[in-house]
Amino acid sequence: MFQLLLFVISILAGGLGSILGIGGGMIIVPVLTLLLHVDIRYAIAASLISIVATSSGAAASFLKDHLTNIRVAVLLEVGTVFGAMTGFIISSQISSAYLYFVFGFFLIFSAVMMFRKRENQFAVTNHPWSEKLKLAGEFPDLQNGRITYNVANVPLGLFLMYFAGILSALLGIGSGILKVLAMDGAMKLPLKVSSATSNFMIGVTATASAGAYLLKGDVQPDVAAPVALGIIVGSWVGAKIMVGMKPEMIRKIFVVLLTIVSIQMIIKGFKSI
Amino acid sequence: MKNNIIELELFIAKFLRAGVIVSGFFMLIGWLGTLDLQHNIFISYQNYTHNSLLSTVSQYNVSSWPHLMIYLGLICLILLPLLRVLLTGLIFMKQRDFIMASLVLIVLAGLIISISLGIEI
Repeated sequence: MFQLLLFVISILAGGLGSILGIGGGMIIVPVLTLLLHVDIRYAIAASLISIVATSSGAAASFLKDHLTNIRVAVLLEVGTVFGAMTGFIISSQISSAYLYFVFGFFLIFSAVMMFRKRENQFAVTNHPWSEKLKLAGEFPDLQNGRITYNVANVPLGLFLMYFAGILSALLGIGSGILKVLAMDGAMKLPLKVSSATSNFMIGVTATASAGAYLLKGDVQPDVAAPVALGIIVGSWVGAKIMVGMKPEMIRKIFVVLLTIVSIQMIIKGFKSI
Repeated sequence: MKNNIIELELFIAKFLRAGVIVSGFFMLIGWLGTLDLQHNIFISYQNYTHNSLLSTVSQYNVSSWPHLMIYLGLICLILLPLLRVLLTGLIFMKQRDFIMASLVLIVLAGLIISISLGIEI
């Protein structure tokens, strides 16, 4: 019964994640720990597996739309993979209580970031690294045909990606919010390109730590299977129903829920000490 | 060059989608085999105990096939992004874009080192 319940919740998490443009990890880790009382280490490992699954599926769609900048993705994956490595080492050394605290504070940060208005800020000039690595690109646009863009502040973007990788491995999240912040905030990539490239990279980042957790024995099949299957189904359904949908109201409700859950995670952290 | 990139994008897209379906199929079969509608199986996961994958799998017998199926699906899933990175690297090599190929090699090495950390810690 509880396995079916987790499967259904994971479908909802995947669907909500698709509609709001966030990964399911931010929803599934609190569900597993606060509702089903699963240890946070197992929850994080299961969440990372579901991120690998959804990212691979979503990346396929974005690639078909020619929005992903593969060259930018490869460069930034250097930062996220080494960040994930660091995150895995940190998580192996700290107690579960600290994981609850960091997760709680990250949820508050995410709630604030969801209110941030994203705007296209095109870079006027290319960063020298972008020139050298030919990172500038173009993408199809319904109104303007094809739009070309430059890439700015490459070292800053790479640095932010390292932190995104640490948080991903530590908390079992995709860190999409940080990745998009680095790409459209620091590197001035167009919004569509940064979202698609972020999705393309999330799977590789999550794999760096999910594989380590799998070998370590933290990925429990009874927990990971319903979560991964549910999120795959949910994100597929979510992507279908989100066309023409205005997610603003859902976003506002979700931000309130996120704030409540973040407080509960911090309280659980105090209880775990 | 541009056509090569588009071909690469489409090939990777098909490969990723097929991979998710295959690994999802293994996990689904395994999960259906483990379904227990009477008990709350999550009680046994309320406290963390360290048991490596190898020691867990070595204790399995024939009746453990559902869990083995799930692990098979999980391994397929983990291999997907690894193969995707490898594929990207090979295409860059074919295009004689050695700087990007070197970056892909660094990512691949990072992934392998990171995953193998799970054996040690």
